[in-house]
Amino acid sequence: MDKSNDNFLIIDNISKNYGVVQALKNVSFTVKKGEVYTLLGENGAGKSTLVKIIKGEETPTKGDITLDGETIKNYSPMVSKAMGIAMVHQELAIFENMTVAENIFPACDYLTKTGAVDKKRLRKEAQDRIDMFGMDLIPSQKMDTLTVAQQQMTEILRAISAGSKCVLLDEPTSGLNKDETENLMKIIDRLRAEGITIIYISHRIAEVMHISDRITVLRDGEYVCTFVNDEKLKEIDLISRMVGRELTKSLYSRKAYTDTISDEVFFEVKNMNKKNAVYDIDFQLRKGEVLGFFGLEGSGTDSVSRMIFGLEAMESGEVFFKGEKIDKVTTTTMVDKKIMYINNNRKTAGLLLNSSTLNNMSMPVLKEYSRGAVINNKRLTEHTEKYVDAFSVVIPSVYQKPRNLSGGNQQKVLLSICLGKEPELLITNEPTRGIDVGAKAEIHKFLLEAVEKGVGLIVFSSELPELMSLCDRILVMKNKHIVGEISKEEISEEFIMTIAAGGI
Amino acid sequence: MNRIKAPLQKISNKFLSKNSFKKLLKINGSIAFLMCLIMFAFLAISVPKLFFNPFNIQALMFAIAPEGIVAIGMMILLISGVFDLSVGSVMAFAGLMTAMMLVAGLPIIVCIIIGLLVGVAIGFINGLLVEMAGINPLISTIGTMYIFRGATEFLMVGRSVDYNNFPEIFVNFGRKGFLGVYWMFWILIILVVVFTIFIVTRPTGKRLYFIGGNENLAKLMGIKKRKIRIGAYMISGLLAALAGILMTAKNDAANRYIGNVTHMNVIIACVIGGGSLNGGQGSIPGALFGIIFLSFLQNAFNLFDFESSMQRIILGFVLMAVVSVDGFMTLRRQKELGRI
Repeated sequence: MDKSNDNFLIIDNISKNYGVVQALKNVSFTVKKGEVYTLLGENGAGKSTLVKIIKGEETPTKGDITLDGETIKNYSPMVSKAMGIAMVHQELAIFENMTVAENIFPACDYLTKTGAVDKKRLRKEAQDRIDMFGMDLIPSQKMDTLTVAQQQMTEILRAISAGSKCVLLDEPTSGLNKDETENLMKIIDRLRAEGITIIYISHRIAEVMHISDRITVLRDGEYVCTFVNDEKLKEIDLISRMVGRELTKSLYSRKAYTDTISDEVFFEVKNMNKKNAVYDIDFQLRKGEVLGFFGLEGSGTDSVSRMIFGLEAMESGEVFFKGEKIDKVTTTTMVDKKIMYINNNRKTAGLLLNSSTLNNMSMPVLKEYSRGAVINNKRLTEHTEKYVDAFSVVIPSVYQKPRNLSGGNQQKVLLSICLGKEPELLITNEPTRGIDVGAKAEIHKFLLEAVEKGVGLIVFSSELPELMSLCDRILVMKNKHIVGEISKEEISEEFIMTIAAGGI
Repeated sequence: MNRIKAPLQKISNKFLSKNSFKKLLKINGSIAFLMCLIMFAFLAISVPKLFFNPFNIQALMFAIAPEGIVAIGMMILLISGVFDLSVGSVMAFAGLMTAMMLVAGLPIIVCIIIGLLVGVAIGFINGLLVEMAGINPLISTIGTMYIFRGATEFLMVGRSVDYNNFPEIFVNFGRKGFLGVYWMFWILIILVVVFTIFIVTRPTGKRLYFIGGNENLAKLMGIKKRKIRIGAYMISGLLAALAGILMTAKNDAANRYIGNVTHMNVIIACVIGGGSLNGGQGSIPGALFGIIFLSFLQNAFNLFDFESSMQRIILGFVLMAVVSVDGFMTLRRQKELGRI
C-alpha cells in the first residue's frame, strides 16, 4: 500500500494563541485512515482546542492541516463537513425542541416527489441507524424527554450518519455511566470495522487503553509523545508522560505550615449529595489549613465548589462554618458570614467587564461604605485604591474598565473584590486559569498571605502544580465521588493522576 | 444496558400513554384550541341570541381576520427565535401607501402591490437590522415601529387631502364576501392552510425550528440562518401590509390608528397558541386559535356589557396562567429526567 495515501490527517506545526496564553505550541502528528487515535492529557493540555482546529471551528495562529493528501486553506466547519469530518462536542449540541430522527438528519435530505420532507423515510432511516448500533431510542421521540446519555447517543448517531469519513469525539464519556460507556466502546469498535477514522479525546486511561490504536499525549499545549497501544503499554507510562513536568521555579511554593494547623474544624461539609452531580461529599477544613480539590473534567469538583457556596442547590447534606450549622446555603448567607467565592470564569461570571474597577470593587462592600442610602464615594475610592496598590494591579485609574486589562490583572481585580470584603473563608475555583506564569505566582503569593492572616482557603483547580504549591492536603475526585486524600508529604503528580485517571 | 433502558421505558410509556387528554395537551396549540372551545360553548350557551346574531358574527370575522393574518407572520418569526414589534406600524403605513396611490388614480392592483411591497421592504429592513447588524429584535423593531408610525402620522395629520372615497371594487374587497364569509376571512383561511403546509412539510419550514431551537448548532449544520430569518421578517412584513390594506379597504379610508395595539395582541395570541419567545416551538393553527380566543374574550366583554378596561386585566392573567402552566410542566419533566 502507498504510504502517503494511508494518512488521513496531518497536523503540521500547529500553534494557537489566545492573547498572551499559548494554548498550543508547535504540535505535529499524523492520523492514519481507519484508526482510533486518542489525544490524552490533563485539563488545559490543549486537546479541545486541537480538535476544534481539526474541525475548522478555530483558526490556528500558525501551522498547516493536511486532509486526505490536500493542504487546506481557508478552513471552516463547512469545509470540514464537506471533507467528511463530523464532531461530537464536549457540551451537548442538540436541538432539544426536535425529535430524535430530525436531530440525526438536520439537513432534511429525504424529500418526497412534491418536495415535502419525507417523514416516513426519515424515521425509517433513523430507526436503521439506531438498530445498527443497538441503541435504545425511538425516532419520533422528542429530545427534551430523553436523558443526557440518550441525547449524547443521538448526537453521536448524527455525526456518523452524515456519511462521515472521520468522527471527532471530544470527551464523549464525561456524562455517561459505566454501562453507557461500554456501549459507546462497542459503537467505536463498529465504526473502526467500517473503516471510519476516529479521533478520540479523553483522560480516562483505562477507557483509552481499551479502545485506541495509538495514543498521543499532550501536556501544556505541547506534543509529548505517541504510543502504539499494544500489550507492552502500561498505565504508568501514560500517566508519567501526562504529568511529567518540572515544577517551575517561578511558582511561589508554600513552606510547610503543618505545625501551625490546629485541630479546630473551621469549615465542614457532611454527606452532600445531588443526583447526577456529586455523591457522598464529606470533608473538613481545619483552621490554618489550605485544602485542595483535584479532579478531571466531569469528576464533579466544579459542582462541589458551587454547591458549598450555594450557587447550585444540594439535594441533601449539611454545611458547618466555625462549628455552626448553616441552615440555608445561599450565596447571600454565605457572603454575610464572610465566605467569598472566586469564580472560574471571570469573563462571564466574575467581573462587570464594562463597569469601572471602582464599581466592581464596591459590589460586596456597598453597605459598609454607605450611610443610610447614601454611598460615600470618597471612602470607596480610597478602599479601591488601597487594594489596587496592595495587589499591584497595573491600572491607569480606578475608573478604568476591567475589559481593557490583561487576564492576569483582571484576575487580581477579582481577587481584590473578594478580599475587600475581608473574608474569613475563601473558596477559589480555578484561581489562575488562563493567565501567565508571573501573574500566577503573584496571585498565589496573595492567597497565601491571606492564609497567614487567618483566612481559610479551599482551592479547586485542575492544575496540579498549583495545588501542590498551595495546599496542605488534596482531595481527589473521580466519577462524582471523593476517591482519595493526599497529604502534603505524599503529594506527587503521578500519584494524584493515578487516582484521578486510572482504573475505571 | 439495563441502566439505559429503564428510564427510557418509563418515559416512552408515558409518551405513548392511553390517556388521550394528556396526549392532546402535548400537541402544540391544543391549549389555545381548548380555550377557544370553552369560550365558544360559554358564549353559545349563555347568550345564544346575541352571540349568533349575524351582526355579531360579522364583527367577529372583522376582528379575527386582520390580526390572524398578522399572527401567521409573527408565529413564523417566533418559531425561528425572533419577533417583530413593527407589524402594527406596517399595517398603518402600507394601508396609507395604498390609499395615496388610489387617490392618485393608479390602477387598484398596482396600488395593492405597492402597499404589499412596502411591507416586504420594511420586513427586509428589520431582517437586516437583526441578522446583519446584530441588533436585538426588541430594539430594532421598536425602531422601525416608531419610524413608520411616525411617518404615517406625518403624512396624514394636518394635510388638506383626505385619503378616502376609494373605488368601489377596492372597498368591496374589504366589505364584501363569498358564501356569507368576508373576503378577508377567506384570505386568512387560505393563508393558514398554505403556511401550515409550508411549515410542517417543507425543509425550509423545518429549518425555522432548527434555528429557533439552537441557533449556533444550526449554523454548524450548514443551515443558512441569516437568509431564513431575513425571509421570515419579509413574510411578516408582507402579511402585516396585507392586513393593513384590507382594513383600509374596509374602512374606506386610511387611518393612522390602524394596528395601534396589534403587535402586542398578536404576540400574546401566539404565546397562548404555543409559541415561545425562546424560539423553536409553535404552530400556525396555534396562532389562529390564539387570535380567535382573544376575539371571543373581547366579544364576551361586549355582549355582557362589562367594563372594557377589565379586559386587559383578564387577558394579562390568562397569558400568565398559560405561560406558568407550560413552565411548570417543563420543570417537572426536567426533574423527572434528573436534569435539575
